[in-house]
Amino acid sequence: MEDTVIKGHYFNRMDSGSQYGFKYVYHLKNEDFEKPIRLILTGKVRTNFVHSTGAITYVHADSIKVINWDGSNLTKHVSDLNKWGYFKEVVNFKRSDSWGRYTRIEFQGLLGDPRYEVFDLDSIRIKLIRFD
Amino acid sequence: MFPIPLKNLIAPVLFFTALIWFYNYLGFFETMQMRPSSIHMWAQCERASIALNYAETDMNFFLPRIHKFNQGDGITGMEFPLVNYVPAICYKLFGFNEIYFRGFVLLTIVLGLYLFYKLLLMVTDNNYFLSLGLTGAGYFSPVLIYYSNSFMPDITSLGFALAAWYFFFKFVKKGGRKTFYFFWTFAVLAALVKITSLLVILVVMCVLVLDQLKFFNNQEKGFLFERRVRWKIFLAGIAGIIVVASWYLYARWLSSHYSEGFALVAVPVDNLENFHIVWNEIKRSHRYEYYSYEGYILFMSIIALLGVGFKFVNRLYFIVTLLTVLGSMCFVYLMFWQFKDHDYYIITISTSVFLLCLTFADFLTRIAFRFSKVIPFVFIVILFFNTKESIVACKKDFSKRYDPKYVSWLGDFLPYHDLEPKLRRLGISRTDYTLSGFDWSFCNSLYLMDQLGENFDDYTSEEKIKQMLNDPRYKYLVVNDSAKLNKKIPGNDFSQKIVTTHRGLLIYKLR
Repeated sequence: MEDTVIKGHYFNRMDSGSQYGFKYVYHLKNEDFEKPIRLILTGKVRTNFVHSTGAITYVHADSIKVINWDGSNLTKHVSDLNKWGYFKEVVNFKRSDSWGRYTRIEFQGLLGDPRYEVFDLDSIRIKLIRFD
Repeated sequence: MFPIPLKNLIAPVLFFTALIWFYNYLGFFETMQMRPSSIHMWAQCERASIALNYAETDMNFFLPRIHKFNQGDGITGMEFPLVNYVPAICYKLFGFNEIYFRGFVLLTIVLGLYLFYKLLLMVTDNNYFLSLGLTGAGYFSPVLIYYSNSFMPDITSLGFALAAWYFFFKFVKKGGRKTFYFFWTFAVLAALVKITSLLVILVVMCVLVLDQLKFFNNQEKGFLFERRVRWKIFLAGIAGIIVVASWYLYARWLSSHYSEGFALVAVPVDNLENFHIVWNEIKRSHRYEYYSYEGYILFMSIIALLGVGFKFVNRLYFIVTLLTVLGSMCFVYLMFWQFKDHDYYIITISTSVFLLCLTFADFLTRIAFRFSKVIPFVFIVILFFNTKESIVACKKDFSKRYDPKYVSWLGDFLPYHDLEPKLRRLGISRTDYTLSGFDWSFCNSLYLMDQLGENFDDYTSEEKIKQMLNDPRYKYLVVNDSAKLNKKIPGNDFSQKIVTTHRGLLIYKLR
């Protein structure tokens, strides 16, 4: 799927001063309702805390309510503290009957506990594909 | 000119083209290089651990070892470790890569399937599509597919059992000493690798008894085998049983003298309440993992058709199928409790399904000869649409089992996958005994980071953990949650002993 995005290089730091990172919202098109959607997240991550609470969250919502809230904790991609680790996360969004129809997916960097940690994200690429 | 007549190539080309297409459609090849993951990773890591220990510790075939070295230096009793030993040889020759293990298991089931396909060709007078369709009908089970390239020996046992049946029926039809030796070897190996497949030998011995009683007297000679041959097969069967029993007695002895890594005892259900628990779980979780809905419809239809046209059913195929089904039912009774959580217990008894397909292939060929050749053609069309649905069900199940979220929900051992090189760079060898917490499995983390030692989980008592930490044998401690450790051992000084960190893991030097 393609969407209009701001192209460029963005560095995003989350710490005690800013718990939330950049946000991107994808508005579903008509054809997106036919098939399940696969999310492929790639980028770089860096942290100074071994049990990092840093994550990229994805929220399925319609115009009035949040339907499902989930996320990918990125700790497992940090091989060495304070060094960049490259990651690729693949998530299949399978529609549950109880979910109802969502019209948008919101992505956002989030630091769960910002008191002890500095969590950096860079070069994040969000790819959404319809699959069978 | 071709050295082999082109006609002889049709069957293998058709079979392997269809198989490769099928595996490719599933995304099967992408999983070949994966480390043990997804459902029943615990059991898979145990088997993989045996192979790695052969390669790294000792190639003595009769002393299989696991990474858990706390008891008996890791030596454990288990099923015949052929499936572990062959990959270990590959590790020695080409270096460690789990693709050899997965590849060997895959090779054995492909061999079994191919020989079963050849058996069907023999029975159906080279009806390629009918043989292919019925082989597929037996194989298109989500469980069989998932474990086809796993680390479990069950699938190898099934492959060997199918090979044994091919050689047995070929021997019945054409004779030949070599064919018999092949039958015996595969039958014994199948039983050694997984005891359930002893059914092959037991069923053949029952067939011999029935032959003695002239049960097959509608055959050309009146008997299936000459008296002398019958005795030879019978004695060979006894010898096979002795070989198999010897190994399992030895395995029991290993377990009692060293450590118990594998269950080698029957676990039947002894009351109705437990029966309902297992039965409900099978209905809820495993029913459509064994075979798809369409698969069940097909097999029920086959049984109904065989019932209706009973006089056209070959006695030998029928009795072999019936005895295998009865034997499988005995196995289910003996191990019924295991069926609650273990989908793979169905693998070795699915030989019955293949034999049912064989009986039906022969039945169809007979009625085609008697009535019309259109009948198999009509059945092939039905079979095509039926197996198509089964293939879709297999893909759905296979995708679910390797879905990243599902894999991580079952137990996230990803951080351990590439920890070993880091440990070696720090001068930590695999024989530096290591404690691993908090790992609820048998030896997943120890195997994946290739460290000999012991693990503990959330339910291990504080005393036990303290005892292990004070044990001078253990040099390192790997923990995936330091908060849990601090709760278990409050006021510890581990923060001063950190050697390194890795993907959320903390590695401490104990002494």
